[in-house]
Amino acid sequence: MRRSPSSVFDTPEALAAALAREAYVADEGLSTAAFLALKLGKPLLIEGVPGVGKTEAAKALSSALGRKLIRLQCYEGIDAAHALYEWNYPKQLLAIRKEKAGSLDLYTDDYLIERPLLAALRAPEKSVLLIDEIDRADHEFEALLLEFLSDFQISIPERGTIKAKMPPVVVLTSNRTRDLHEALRRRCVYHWINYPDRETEARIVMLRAPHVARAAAHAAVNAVQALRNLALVKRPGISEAVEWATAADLLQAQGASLDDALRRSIGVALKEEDDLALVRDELSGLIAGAVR
Amino acid sequence: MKTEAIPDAARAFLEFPQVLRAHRFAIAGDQALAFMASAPLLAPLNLRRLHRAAHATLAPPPERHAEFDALFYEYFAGGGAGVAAAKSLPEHDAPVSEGPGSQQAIAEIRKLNESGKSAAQSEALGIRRLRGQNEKPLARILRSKLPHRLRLRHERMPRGPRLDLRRSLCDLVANDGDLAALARSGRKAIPRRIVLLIDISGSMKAETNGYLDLAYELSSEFRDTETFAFGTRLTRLTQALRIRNKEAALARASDLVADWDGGTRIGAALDAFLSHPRYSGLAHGAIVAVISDGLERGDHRRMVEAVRRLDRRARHLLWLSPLAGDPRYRPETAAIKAILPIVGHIGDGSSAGSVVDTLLRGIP
Repeated sequence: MRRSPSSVFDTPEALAAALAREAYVADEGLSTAAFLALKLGKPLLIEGVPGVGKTEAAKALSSALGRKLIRLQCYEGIDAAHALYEWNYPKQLLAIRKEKAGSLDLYTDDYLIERPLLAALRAPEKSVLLIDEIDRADHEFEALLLEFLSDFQISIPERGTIKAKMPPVVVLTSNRTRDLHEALRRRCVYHWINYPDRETEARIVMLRAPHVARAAAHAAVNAVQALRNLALVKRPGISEAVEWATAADLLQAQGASLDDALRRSIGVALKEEDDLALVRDELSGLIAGAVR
Repeated sequence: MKTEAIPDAARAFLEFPQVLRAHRFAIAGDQALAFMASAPLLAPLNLRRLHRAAHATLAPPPERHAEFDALFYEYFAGGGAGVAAAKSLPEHDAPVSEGPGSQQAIAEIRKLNESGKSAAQSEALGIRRLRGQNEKPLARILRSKLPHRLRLRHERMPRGPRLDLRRSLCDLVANDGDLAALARSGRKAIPRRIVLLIDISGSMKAETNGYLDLAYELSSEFRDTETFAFGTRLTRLTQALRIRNKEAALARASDLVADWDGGTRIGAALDAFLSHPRYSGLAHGAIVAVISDGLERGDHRRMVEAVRRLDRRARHLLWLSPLAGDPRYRPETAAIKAILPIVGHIGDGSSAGSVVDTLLRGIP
């Protein structure tokens, strides 16, 4: 692959620099946590409110390491067949029909469909496993993950136990809509992401949308930071700031003033009717303050 | 703990987690080891880097970051003046009790139960109909109404929703290619665990017997029901209430509780529940009902924080107050007002029957 293996990252700063090359701004806390997770061979658990770039962190980490990202999106009711493996039954049936006599092994790799956890286990040196929004899954699923994360092995009744050659890089994210089991938390290296401060967020916006004018980027960031102080149903995240800056920049290119452009494109930053109603009266003042 | 043989530099890594534990941070051995292992990786080590490593490996919950940082800087930068004080703090300030030697007592009562006479007697006592018009015992009614969850595993189920190709194929191979019927499977729905936290302080005196009755009924219908009583301390009643003979169970439960009709320290008791590693897991995905008037002595901040933590663990958190039975009731004490945004509303807990009604109505 195009990038060097993880052993090159000798310090958290080197890792942060590598993440920055992937257009991801990691603060000291995150780069230290990710560095320790890589070195100690433990999973990295990232918690934070929606829209602070938890999933992005995992994506950036996988490309900084030059590895494939394997993503397992959790949801209520997720089960083992979606997370671990499944047999390819139609193929097995066809094989039985074709093979009239003799010994036929129906449980070889040919008939095995890898799901994310098994896929990461079988290619630990080539992949980063992202277990996304684990707080959405049931607590019973956490127990299954716990088993997986402690030994990095999966038992398939027909095949026996498959064990990883080396511990794979695993990133777990949670929106903290509920607390995770203590046992799971303590197995991981942990980082809590907050909304970035003004300067960091401006850097992120300009990295992610390099074509946007500086003034528009700063104004969008200021406005988003001001919006986050209000009692909103859904506070705008970082990607909303990026989109708002981009949208305002587009409108500005067609001749609108920056104030006007931000006001007209409020829909990319706030997506709840209640939130729009709440800020309606103050929006002009808020944007004027942000542009200045 | 022996620390003589450990070099000075390493001692801090052993001691600091202990200081944290003394301040009610849950730190596992694994995490302390990871903290120690992180030091050589971060050379040249300075306070700032060590601070990051402490956050990453010891994982303090975000709402306690300020407290954690204060302890960290006091220990590593402040010369550890506060550490001696910290060490002398008790592990839990609300003690937890399951009653010493209770196992033996329970075994004896069990033996008593097995004799036919008392068993029949318990039968007659056990089926209590709290809702007169209904023929079914109360817990039976609850079974169909309470929220369920699906088991993670697919089980063989003759009329299950899913065609089980895996088992069908196994059957097919086992029968030399003949298949009489396709196997079906599904995920079994089981009622979520109920966790009852019952306030037994003086202000709740009139109702506590009724609540324990209810807890017994629930425990015998739903075997994984957990019951705790709290006043100034937290007591687990689950084992006692599993005794089949109702009178024996209730007698055993009241023996276990050492602080009947005393004062309340709701915050400390809920905290004790949450920071006990074995207990706090019980609340995950469960229906947690706190039955209390919320009359907290002194500062209520700890209680509010505990309720917030409880809410993040539980699937449904209900707060039932005996005072809420009065239609003129308005949440007025500062503690109740503060927890209102977390629990949604204060349910009617004026009697065991109304607790059941609230359980039925209060859960979406």
